Amino acid sequence: MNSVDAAGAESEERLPEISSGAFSIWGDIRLKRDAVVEAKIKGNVHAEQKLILNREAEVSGWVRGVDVYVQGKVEGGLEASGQVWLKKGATLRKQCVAQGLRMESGVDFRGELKVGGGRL
Amino acid sequence: MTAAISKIEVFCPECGKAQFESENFLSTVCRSCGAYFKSPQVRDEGRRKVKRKIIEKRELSCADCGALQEIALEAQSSTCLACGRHLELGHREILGEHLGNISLEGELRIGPKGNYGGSRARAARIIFEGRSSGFLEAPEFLRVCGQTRIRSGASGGRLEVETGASLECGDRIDFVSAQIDGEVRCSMARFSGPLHIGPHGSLRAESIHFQELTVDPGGKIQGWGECLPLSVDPAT
Repeated sequence: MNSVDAAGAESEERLPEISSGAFSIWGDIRLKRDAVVEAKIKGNVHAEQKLILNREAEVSGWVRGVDVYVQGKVEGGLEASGQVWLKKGATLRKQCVAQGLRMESGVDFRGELKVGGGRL
Repeated sequence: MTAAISKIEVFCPECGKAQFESENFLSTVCRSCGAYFKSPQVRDEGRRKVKRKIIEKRELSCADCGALQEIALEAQSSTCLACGRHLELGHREILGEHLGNISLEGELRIGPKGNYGGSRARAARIIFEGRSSGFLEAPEFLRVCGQTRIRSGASGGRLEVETGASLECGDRIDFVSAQIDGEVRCSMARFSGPLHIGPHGSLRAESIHFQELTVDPGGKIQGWGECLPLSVDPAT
């Protein structure tokens, strides 16, 4: 399996990429390995491992994953069973559910925020 | 027998007329124009240089109007030169019930059994362990150390909630930044700078506004959130 560090940097092997600035993907995507997404996706993304949404990535639906690193745009909310990083310039709407969160200044976020499992 | 008093000729600085005065004269009036003038000897030698102790000063801004003034470093109180407000500069501790407004430039400590019953308390630094009915304003920091409750709201520079401590606030809290290692509950929380929730910290509010957010694994946050734009004015 490929490894991704906390900053989302790729190491050793190259991560599988779903990338194209030229076309959009219509429909839901299920990713079984660590992945980097750079495309526009009209649907939902379900990642079973670590997921990186680059600056060019746009997801109109929701994103689910373990550890998710976002630089692009997610319209339908984000749910992670691990850590979420939202970098400057990222856009997230509807909700952000995670076990840990790092949101930089300059992120465009408005929505339900729920970090940390169990009852508050 | 009287000793002869020697006279000297002096000139009026106004009209220039000459007249005779005693050689020890200190001051006189011109007999021509009526101008009062002093002896040149008095003017040159009479002034004694007084060495004053150098007083260390610091700048103080009024809690009400914000006007600046310089005060002695050891001063315990002052009055605003612009609006006339009395400014108390020392520290105060509330261990029981306290009614009435407080405005301090020093530190306010509300002990575990302390209950602030006034409508507004302002101090540069507030260490809070008890209860408050009124609004708390701490331009430097508000440190929550015990199981605390504020019936209204709070604002200031930095909010610090220690591990095991809790803050329940009936109204909004508005700070520049926060380090939350305990529990905070309020209706609205606004941080114009970074908000950090430690591994044992939790924040629950109807709406939470921040410029930067870090929630360590184990930390909790729940509510409707908004990341403030970078250009936001903290005062608005």
